Amino acid sequence: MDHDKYIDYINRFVDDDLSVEETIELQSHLETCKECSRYFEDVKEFKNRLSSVEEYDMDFDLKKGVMKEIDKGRMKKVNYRKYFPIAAGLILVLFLITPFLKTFLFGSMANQDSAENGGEPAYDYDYDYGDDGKDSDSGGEESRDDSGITLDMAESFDVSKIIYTGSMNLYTEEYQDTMEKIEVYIKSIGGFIQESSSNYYDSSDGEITKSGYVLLRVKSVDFEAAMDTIESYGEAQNSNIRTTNITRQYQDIKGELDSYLIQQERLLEYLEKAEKIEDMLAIEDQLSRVRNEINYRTTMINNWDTQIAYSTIQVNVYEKEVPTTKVKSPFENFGFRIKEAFVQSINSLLIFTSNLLVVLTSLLPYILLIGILGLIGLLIFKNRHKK
Amino acid sequence: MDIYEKELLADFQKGKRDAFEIVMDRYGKKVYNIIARMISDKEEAKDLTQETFIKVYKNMKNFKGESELYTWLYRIAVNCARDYWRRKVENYPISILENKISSEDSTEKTVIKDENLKNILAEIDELDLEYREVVILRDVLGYAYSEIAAILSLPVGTVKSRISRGRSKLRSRIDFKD
Repeated sequence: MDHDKYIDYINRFVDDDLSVEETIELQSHLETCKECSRYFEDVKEFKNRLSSVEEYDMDFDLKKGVMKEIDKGRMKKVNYRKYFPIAAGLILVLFLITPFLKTFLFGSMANQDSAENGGEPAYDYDYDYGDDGKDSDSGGEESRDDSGITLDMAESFDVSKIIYTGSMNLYTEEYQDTMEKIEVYIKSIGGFIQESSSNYYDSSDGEITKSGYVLLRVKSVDFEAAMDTIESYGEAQNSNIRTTNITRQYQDIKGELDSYLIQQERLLEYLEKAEKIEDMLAIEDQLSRVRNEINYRTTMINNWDTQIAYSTIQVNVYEKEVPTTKVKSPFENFGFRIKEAFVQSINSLLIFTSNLLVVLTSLLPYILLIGILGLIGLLIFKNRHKK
Repeated sequence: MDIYEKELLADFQKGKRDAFEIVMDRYGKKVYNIIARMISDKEEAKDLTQETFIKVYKNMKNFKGESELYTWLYRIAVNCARDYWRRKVENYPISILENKISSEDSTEKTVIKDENLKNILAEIDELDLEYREVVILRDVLGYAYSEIAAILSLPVGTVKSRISRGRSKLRSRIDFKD
């Protein structure tokens, strides 16, 4: 007889899991099988006994304990992962505003320097333009690109004592033609060519490359128009305009000159009145020294006047291959360009890092304040939440 | 499932604290009883219940709703009890553990006057884990076969046969009518 089957039936019967047919089958089996019948009685008793087991009461504050642990865990282990997108966004924003910050930071520094210099802008450049060069020790230069000088700065200058210098690289398909055009144009506006040079040399691939430069002098009033016109003769690159404000130096030298002229007049008066030979010689000696000083300053002022009146434009002209007749490799100077790009990136990164540190340091008081307020808010929120 | 239940479940799955607290109120006692019966130690069961709900809180968002919420909770509770049991066996040599169980017989001693019931419960503790779990869930705590199958992640047929064998083993050890 299959006792195992009926033992399963018995167990399922006490658990109300038996179907009507199975129940009838079990009942008829139990009537004949004493062993299964005893098992049935025992299991019923077992179930009966266990039915008196009572559920335990919760004699402890589960919620309080759990929430305390969760809050403790939260304080210990902040989920930093959820802040990653915010941090990434912040870094991106900082990266994007770096150029503006740079302008802002360095701009404000320049203004500071300017204030310290008694209103004059700070000059970092001492550029030799390749002409008579007598202004190279004058200091007081201002550099700018085509973006233009600001109105405030321009107003603080005596515009009549500004030397304009321009330079550009001009790429053209017809070298000779361009050089001639420049010459004709400069003469037409009353300027002149101060210096000119042309080079014809064989490049590595057997092609003859033409290049050269011209140093032009044009009237200051025509300076900007001349720059624009010459740029239109080819493909202009690295077009620069430099302005040198020599107002202060000019006035100093002019003042010294006036002083020496007065001194000269007095010495001449003394000379007329002098009677002794020794006195005359001594006065002549002094007069000679004063005249030297006067000459030196007069020449300087004359040179400046020329430079102020006539601006200098240096044009480097290069003959460029016609793109349709020659294949130009994009990998020309590839290594150099890679190196340059890498160095630029490193520099940008360093600038970004330094700016980031400056910004973070400047934000520190705000972060502290926000942190404290946030903490107070959190405590208030928690207290209310508990209530 | 009514709207309230649905909202509660949705909030729970989003990891909302309020929903978690409601769930804790609702199922805390059941979880505590499962653990206390499984490990036969009411005091330890308090800590394990707490541990269970901390695990639940950490895994709220992982509950996909494939099973009933309570069976999911009870499964975590059963696993906590198993871990506790495993740690205990690892930390104590088996002889000490046996003495400890027989001498302390902690929870029921003071509460249950019925010596026979006390013996039955003690014998249940002596069963192998696979039988002990099903017998406790069915006969002590009164869960249905399908619920036990869901809690233990077993087929219902296995649950039925284990219960049957578990009871038979107990019957061979003690006389229920004493």
